[in-house]
Amino acid sequence: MEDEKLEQILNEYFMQEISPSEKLLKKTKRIVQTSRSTKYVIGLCVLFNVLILNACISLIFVAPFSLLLKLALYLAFTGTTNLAVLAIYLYRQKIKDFMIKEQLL
Amino acid sequence: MLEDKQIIDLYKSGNTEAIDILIERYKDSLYKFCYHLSPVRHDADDLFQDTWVKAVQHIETYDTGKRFNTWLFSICMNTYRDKYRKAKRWLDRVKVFFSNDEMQDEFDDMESPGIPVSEYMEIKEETKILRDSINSLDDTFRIPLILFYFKELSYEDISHILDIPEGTVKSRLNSGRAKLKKAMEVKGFGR
Repeated sequence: MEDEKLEQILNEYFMQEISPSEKLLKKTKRIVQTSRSTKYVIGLCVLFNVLILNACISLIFVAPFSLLLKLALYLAFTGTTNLAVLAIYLYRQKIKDFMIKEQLL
Repeated sequence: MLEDKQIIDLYKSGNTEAIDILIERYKDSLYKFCYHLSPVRHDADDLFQDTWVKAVQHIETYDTGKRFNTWLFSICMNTYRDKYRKAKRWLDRVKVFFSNDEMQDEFDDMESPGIPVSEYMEIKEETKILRDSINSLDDTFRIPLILFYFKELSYEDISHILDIPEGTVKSRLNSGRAKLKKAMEVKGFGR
């Protein structure tokens, strides 16, 4: 086979149009958006948990409660904040729409 | 039209939907590259997705002085190396063997308006031989060939993506062409 012929065949082969499906594009865009917001949500969770842990450590030293009550308080705080963050994450689109509607964004 | 750099700045400033413009802009060239790297369509889809996720995760490291598509292709290349090339070769072959239905791609599906059936079948057969021959090449030669024939990348871009000198790119291209020619002749191309 001549070199020119091979060159022509390769050019024709690689010139063929290949496009990703609409489904794949939509999925990719969604994953890309989620991957960024997930990073923020994880950061927010870590921050809240560190803050609550600090508050509770201080509480353990100063509050006149029993250890069991302090532990219960700590669990209640962390549970509530983590659930709140999770809810914000799950309803992020609705929250965003609401804020745009109310012209807060 | 917004430049890539402006879109990335928009994205960094919190406009997360700006990345959709880049996905739309590079969807065809990146997907084409993924498709030629991974002969199984399902793997090409995964590679395409993983590349965008990694690109977004590492967007802070993008040097705005360089071309975005070169950076994107490098990420794709590294993702392929990390995730796909490590897979055992026999497993890949088994997958390819059992996924003949998935291989009904654009080339196979192309219509044959105005040409006789025998000629159409011949073109189809030749395309299959060409594709098999390219895929039978070692990645050392196959990847520079794929990158080069996109016509969107210069020798310099390819050398950046593969992290090898330009001279090596040229020599690998020449060796790749020679090996491909041999493989095609062995498979009976043009007989």
